[in-house]
Amino acid sequence: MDIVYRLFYEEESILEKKLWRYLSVTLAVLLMMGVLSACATSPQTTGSSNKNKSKGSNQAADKAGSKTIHIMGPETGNPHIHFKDREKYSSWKEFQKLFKEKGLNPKFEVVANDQYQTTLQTRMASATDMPDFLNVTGLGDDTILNFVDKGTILPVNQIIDEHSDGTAKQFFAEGGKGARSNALNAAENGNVYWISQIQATTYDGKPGSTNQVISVRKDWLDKLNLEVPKTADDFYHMLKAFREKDANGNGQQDEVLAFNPAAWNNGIAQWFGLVNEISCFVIEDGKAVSPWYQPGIKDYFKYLNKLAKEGLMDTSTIGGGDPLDQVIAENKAGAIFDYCMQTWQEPGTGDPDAAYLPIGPLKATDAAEPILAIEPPYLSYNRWAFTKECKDLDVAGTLLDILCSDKYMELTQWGIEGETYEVKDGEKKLLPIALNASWEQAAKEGKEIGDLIWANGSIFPKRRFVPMENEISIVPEYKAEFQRNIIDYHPTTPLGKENYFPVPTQEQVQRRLELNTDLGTQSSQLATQLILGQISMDDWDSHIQSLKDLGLDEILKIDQTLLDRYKKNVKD
Amino acid sequence: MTVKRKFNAGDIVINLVMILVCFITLYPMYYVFILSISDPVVAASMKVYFYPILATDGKMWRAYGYTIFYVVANTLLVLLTSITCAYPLTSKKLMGRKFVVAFLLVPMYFGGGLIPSFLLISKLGLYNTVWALIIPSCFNIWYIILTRTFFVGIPESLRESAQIDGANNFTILSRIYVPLSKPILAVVGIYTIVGVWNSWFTSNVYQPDTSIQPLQMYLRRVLVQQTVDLTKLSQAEAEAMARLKLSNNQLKYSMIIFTTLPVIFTYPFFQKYFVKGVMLGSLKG
Repeated sequence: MDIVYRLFYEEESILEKKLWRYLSVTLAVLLMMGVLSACATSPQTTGSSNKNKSKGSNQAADKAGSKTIHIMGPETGNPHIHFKDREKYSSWKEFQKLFKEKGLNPKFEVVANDQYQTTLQTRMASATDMPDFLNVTGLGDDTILNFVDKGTILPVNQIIDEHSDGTAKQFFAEGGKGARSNALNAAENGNVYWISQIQATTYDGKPGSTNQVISVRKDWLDKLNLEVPKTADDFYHMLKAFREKDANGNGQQDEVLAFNPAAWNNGIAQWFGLVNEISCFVIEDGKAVSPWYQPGIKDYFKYLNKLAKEGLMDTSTIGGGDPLDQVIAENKAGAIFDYCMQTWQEPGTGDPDAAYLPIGPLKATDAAEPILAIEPPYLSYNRWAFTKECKDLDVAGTLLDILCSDKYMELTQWGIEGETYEVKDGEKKLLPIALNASWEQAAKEGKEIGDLIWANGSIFPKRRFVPMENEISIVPEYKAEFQRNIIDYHPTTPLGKENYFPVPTQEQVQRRLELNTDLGTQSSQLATQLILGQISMDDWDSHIQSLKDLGLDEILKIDQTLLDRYKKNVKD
Repeated sequence: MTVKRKFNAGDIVINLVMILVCFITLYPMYYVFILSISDPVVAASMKVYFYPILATDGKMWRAYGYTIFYVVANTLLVLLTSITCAYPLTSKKLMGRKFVVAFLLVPMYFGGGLIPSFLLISKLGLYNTVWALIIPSCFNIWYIILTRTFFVGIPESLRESAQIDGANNFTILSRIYVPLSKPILAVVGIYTIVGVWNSWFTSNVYQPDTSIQPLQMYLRRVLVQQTVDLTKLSQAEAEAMARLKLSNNQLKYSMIIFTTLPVIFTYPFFQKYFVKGVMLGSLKG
């Protein structure tokens, strides 16, 4: 009774009374807002709410007679140039004119790059709020083929055949710029369910491509008066000299080779003639092969084992990620693996004199010729598709015509004449603002090519048919020289074998999924243990048998089937 | 009379172990803190920054504001639903009480899964709104059970006495049960605060609009961008990512410190009730 009395009548309960009142009011307001909000749409979205769901192409034309198409994709990955800021760029304004001319009114839903996959998967799986046209790159092969089976994704080839004004048809037809991409995207039933972004690079008028190789610290070589390594053995001595002579001058013998040996695509493996994935191929040869079966494999492990034993290779970088970045940031990386023309690793070292000189492919063994990992000269990657929400297929056809038009290609790869490019002697050349000015500056001035504003894996597919001379002209001469000299190098292996694989069948996808995880884990584990000397090379046959048991040969067979289908589809 | 205890070898060992445990616990925080105020490129050089990027980062401050909103709204609503649902369940006169309790337990252990939840949120019109992070999570069955268990421990005679004095159920709940349940409400409160503060997954699924996302999504974005393997990207994409990674180098550590501190500072305010509440809840649960 005492407690009850106190709680009811004592003065302190007045304070509690007030507090309770405020709390009640706050809650009431919150709940009211919740109810109101639930009834309304978010004012901050660009078209993702339920209300906008019906705003697909099935809607009637608006007052201006244009038809609406709902498009969804991820924001650009660029730190300064964003699709949401598109209105400030002249390239975008020109692009908009294309839509107006064709009577299209695009409504965009832009999702943060890192979040896009989740948004895509949940929306597609629940068949809720689907746009008409979207970037479906985040869906795995099995998932996307499931959507194809369910009819959620529409066949692009039928849209082109029946609803295009001929522009898209010509683009994807034999001899067109998109022909090879079309062949790659063809499913076994002959239908094409998505379009991809295309990047075809040339050098001196012929197909040419960049590559990923080992690069060494040029400034350290100069400082210690060392020769540029010409063989794998020279490279070993160079690393030793960096260490012994304290190339970074921090008083410690901590200079190392910073790369990820758990991946086959690491530069050193290619010196030993090894392909860059557990199942891949030498482009000139066209035969699916595993590095485990190639002749240089044992010498490769012996070499890395020697580097690891002598501390010339930082074993913490096995697996890549943060430790690898850290070694570079601590200015300990005497050699790295990256694109030969990269210029983004040097600032990360903190040393203003840092300069990475690309080398190789170096001769490492008598058992095999060194190979070069190249970015295929014709890249067809990422996926954009139409969903069943797109009821008016004329709208879909019109959009495809726009994305295959010369004007779109020009805006995407060159931008605006006089602003981002100029024409000299009949040839287009990018101006400094689009070539080597900082992105921050380009964003500030609102001058940029379309590729960075809406393409490059973002809302629309890239169309880039630009000569490599443009890129070569802006990198330091020693990198440019390397790129020029290596342009005709053979043999090569592709960075991304998918550029040579047409769409697999459901069974192939399923089997690859079943096998790849265990096989990949076992392969990485074996490679790591062999490099670190934790297991013996004497048991080689049992190591190989363990991989065979996990389906290595079956994976090779599937890849070979796909490669053969590609060779049959692509006639050049 | 107090007896002075001698400081023996055992005490030294215990203290040393405690110091070691403290060191193991605090060192990662110290490490992250030092990196957060260091030059992004040369962390070792210890060029001190006063969180310059964060101070001018409008997006981060907006995310901070939304996080506070989500925490406040969720905490208030969770407390409200827990109290109001737990109270009737303590009454023996409530018809079908056992059934209701059992009924509540089912969804506590078995969820519908992501896609059904997504469909529900979407059909309710909550998708891509701030309410997607408030309405569904404001009703927590575990907290209701916890609160109910605590309420059951309050003597029935108090309720009867209040009824004799003319109090209705609302008065009994607000004047007797709630004031006597501060420990359990503190526990529910702090669990909710910490849970909402640290959550990012719901926002990742239900809020594609970055302008209404909480701070943890912003932090996640920075961290995800840091983990990209550049050798798997095309040259153009690799360049963009490499520069982003470099600029985010220090930012990620600053963000970790910045997002952790408020929650750490929350605990002392609740500590008075917290230990008692946790103990009571667990013993009688």
